[in-house]
Amino acid sequence: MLKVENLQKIFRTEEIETIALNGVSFEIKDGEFVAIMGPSGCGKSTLLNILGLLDNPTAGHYWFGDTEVGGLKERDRTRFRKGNIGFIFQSFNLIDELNVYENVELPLKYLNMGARERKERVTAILKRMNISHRAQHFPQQLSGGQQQRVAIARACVCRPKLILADEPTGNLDSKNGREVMSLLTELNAEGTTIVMVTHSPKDAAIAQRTIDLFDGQIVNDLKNEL
Amino acid sequence: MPRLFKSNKKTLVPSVLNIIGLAAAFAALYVILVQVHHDFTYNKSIKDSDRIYCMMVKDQFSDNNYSCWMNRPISEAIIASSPEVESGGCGYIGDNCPSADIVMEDGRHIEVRIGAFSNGGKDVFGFKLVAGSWDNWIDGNTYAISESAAKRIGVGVGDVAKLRREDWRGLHIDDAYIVAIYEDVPSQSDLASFDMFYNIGKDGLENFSQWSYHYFVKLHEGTDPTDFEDASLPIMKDVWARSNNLDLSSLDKSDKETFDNMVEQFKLHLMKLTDAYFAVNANVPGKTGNRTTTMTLLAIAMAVLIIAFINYINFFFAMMPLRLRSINTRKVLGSSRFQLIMSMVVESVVMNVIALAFALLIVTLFCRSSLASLIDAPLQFDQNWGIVLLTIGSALLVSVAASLYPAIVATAVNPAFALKGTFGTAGKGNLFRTGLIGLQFTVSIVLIICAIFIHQQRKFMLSRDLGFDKEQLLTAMTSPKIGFNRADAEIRLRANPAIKDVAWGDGPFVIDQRMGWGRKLRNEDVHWQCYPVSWNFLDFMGIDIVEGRNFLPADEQSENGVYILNQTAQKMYDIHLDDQIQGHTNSPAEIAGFCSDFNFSSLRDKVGPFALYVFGKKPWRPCMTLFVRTVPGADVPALIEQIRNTLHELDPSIPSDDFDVQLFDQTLQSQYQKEQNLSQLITLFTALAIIISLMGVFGLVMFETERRRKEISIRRVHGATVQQILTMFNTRFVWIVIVSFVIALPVSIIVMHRYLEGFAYRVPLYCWVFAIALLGVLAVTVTVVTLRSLSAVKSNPAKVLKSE
Repeated sequence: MLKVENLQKIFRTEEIETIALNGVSFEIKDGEFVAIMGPSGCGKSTLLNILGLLDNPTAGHYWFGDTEVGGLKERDRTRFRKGNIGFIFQSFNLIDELNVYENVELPLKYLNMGARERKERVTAILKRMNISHRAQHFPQQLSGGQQQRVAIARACVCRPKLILADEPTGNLDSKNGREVMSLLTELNAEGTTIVMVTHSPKDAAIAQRTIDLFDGQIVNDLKNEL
Repeated sequence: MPRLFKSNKKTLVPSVLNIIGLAAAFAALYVILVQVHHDFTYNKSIKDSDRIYCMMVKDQFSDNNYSCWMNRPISEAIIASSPEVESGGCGYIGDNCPSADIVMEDGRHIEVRIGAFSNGGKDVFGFKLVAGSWDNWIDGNTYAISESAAKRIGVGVGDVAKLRREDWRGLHIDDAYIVAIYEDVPSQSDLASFDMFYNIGKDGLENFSQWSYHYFVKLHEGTDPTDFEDASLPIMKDVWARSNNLDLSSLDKSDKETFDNMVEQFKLHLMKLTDAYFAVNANVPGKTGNRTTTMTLLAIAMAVLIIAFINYINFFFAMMPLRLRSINTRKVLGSSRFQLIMSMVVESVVMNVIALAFALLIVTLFCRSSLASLIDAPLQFDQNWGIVLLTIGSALLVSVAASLYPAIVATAVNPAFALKGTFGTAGKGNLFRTGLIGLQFTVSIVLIICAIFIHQQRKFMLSRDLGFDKEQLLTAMTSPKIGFNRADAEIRLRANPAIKDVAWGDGPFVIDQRMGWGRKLRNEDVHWQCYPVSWNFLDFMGIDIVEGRNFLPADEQSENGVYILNQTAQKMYDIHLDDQIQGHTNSPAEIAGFCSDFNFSSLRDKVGPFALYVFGKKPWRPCMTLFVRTVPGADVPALIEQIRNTLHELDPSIPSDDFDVQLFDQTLQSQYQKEQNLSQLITLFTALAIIISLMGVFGLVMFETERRRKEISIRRVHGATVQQILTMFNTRFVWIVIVSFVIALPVSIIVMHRYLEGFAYRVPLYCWVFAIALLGVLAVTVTVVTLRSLSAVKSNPAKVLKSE
């Protein structure tokens, strides 16, 4: 599915140079559920951004399937991302001015999908996420758990091969956190590859494999016992 | 310092843009209010102005119009016989006052404007003497001069100045005896249009056919002007009868009736001097304005102000999501709603005070620029304290009003709701802001359309085929000496290979006011404007003869003069070649032919009856206005110099530099100075309105992009391209512009239709003008929105989402 080799990311300012990732290499197979763990500032989110083609590595290689995508230009990254990768954020990142239905529909619009098919897909995913009754509500009118379900619906509405989740339960109470993890497990069971950054050992334990990062380097890469 | 400045870097640029917009709007308001105040109070500061009237009669050249051109015997008789008149007499004031130059001993020329009065006319206006005496003010060479002009020129009572003038007597330099110095007159009046004036004396006092004087009367307090008008009719009849040696008692009923009807056509009409500035359907003495133009300028000032305040309100509303949290945190901590509202209002007032300070600076710079000449009144603050206070008052009042509504809305939100940050989802704030921007665009589009049409009309007037050949044409006023020796002058001038031909006329050829001749044709009164010319004038100008013959060299030797009338005169009065019509002598002049119509005055007026006239061997005066047709490709500046030198050689008493040789197009342009000024003013304020609007859009887009950075990033993460995001931002503004255009279209059509109605010859309402206004505003808006959004759209979405 994806493979990174000797990945490096260095942030430079006028005064300081920060090495966020330093020689990271791993491979994730189709249908895997991988958790990335580590202390704050170890490079988890940076790695996720590179995997999500939101950012380019400073050095190293990144293959998405058979395509080397590590050095793609912004326009090509956008094109590649569409339909292939779904995102779930800790702070949900829903658009306040759009209602639930419109938020979920957004990635399909950028795929230039026809209106009828969009409607079918959005309706189906909202039903599946059990938030159909909130379709016309705005994000601020929803609870945190509901907002994250909308975010998951938006991430998987275009049926991506890969879902990247950045601390998806970080802003949720335990009940809603469990529900979100259960949804992610379902999606994974249906064949979607999931890479999840988390601080929670409990959530990480649900994944099939955990990669531990420390100071930009992989210190552990272990399969979980399910 | 307003909290807006220091609280948030994001708001700094929009705040500064707002202040600049407001400052420009306040400056525009002040400048236009000065002009409007000038127009509405013109002549009102003259002492007893409410009792001073211009004497007028029905204009014989156009229906429903009154003319201020009076004849002296009748006017003087009416004044002398009317107990209602406190004082009365003739005078030339306002735009009728010609420019002249005082030639200083060191050769310098100091420009002065010259007025003229009879003794009675001078008394109407109550000039106060500060030196000298009216006893010595007796004829055309004795002058009274204003205190400030005397100081400027450095002359006093008893001095003799050399005065260079160009008038119907040609170019001449005379001695001007300064016999009196009078106290300076109110600046915003026709009395300020001259620096010195001479005594008209007995000029034209016995001439019943010369309708070329302006008359003024000051009535006793409480006199009803209509009573005076009615009482003047029998006096007029009496004078008219005496002038024609008629014994009214011996006329039969039918002749008496005819006589009465004829005189009643000239019944006196009084127009209050203070009403003359905005007079419609009347040709008035003095400076005139146009109420529509003044109101248009006022409307533009208001529009600019509204646009600036819309920016301001929009800005406050745009700030609301940012400020709600702070406002409501204060509320939670115990601040009263009144305190919060007042703090926002005070903040608004401070911003407006800063804007006012900048406005003062802008006006000061405007005063020092050439643009100040577009305004008729002095712009200095010390001369307009009332308007300064009005501008400040309006600014503060509107600043309070403009901030009050957003303040009330912002403080009315439920704190819990606001602290959760849900204000933006309601959509009402967006709709309101969109409406305000739409209003700005509507005003801007209307102004653009108006500016283009006014410019087009002026261009049309300058380029239209006037019915004669105005290409490669130079003109100059010469002196009586040259005029009496035209043959010599022609030989000398024609010897110049750059000169193709030469002709002569009596004064400017295209002019709004010139002498009118009233004559009898088959016992009916006929009137036309008459222009004496040299025999070759029609050929020279390329004006076609449609019936009869052209002037011949022999016509210059005729006893009684020769006419060629235009087709309008021919048709209006059914004139035939064998008709007997008096010329400039007491005997009939020959009607040689009829020529095609051409525009002899500005295109505001339709072509009326017109006569070209060759005086013959006994002219009233020589034709002194020289017309020179150059050969194609002539070096015009060099030729002008050569013509000046030739004229100086022909009349050595006048220095060559004093001959003002001009391109004919230049003289034509001066006819449309008013349109040019209006065009420039409207263009200036339109540009201002558009810039302020765009500053508002810029500020708003900047704010929107800042506010929506997170949304942009979310969209980008989910696959939106840069182009798609830019399209999203632009679509909203494009729709606003389109809807604004739909509203602006009928408004601008109505406004321009009314404006163009003032011209007899006008441009049609071109569709392309409307298209250009729409496309122009669209292009500029899309550019501003795109440029402003681009940096936000191109930010790395991962970084933005992390920071947000």
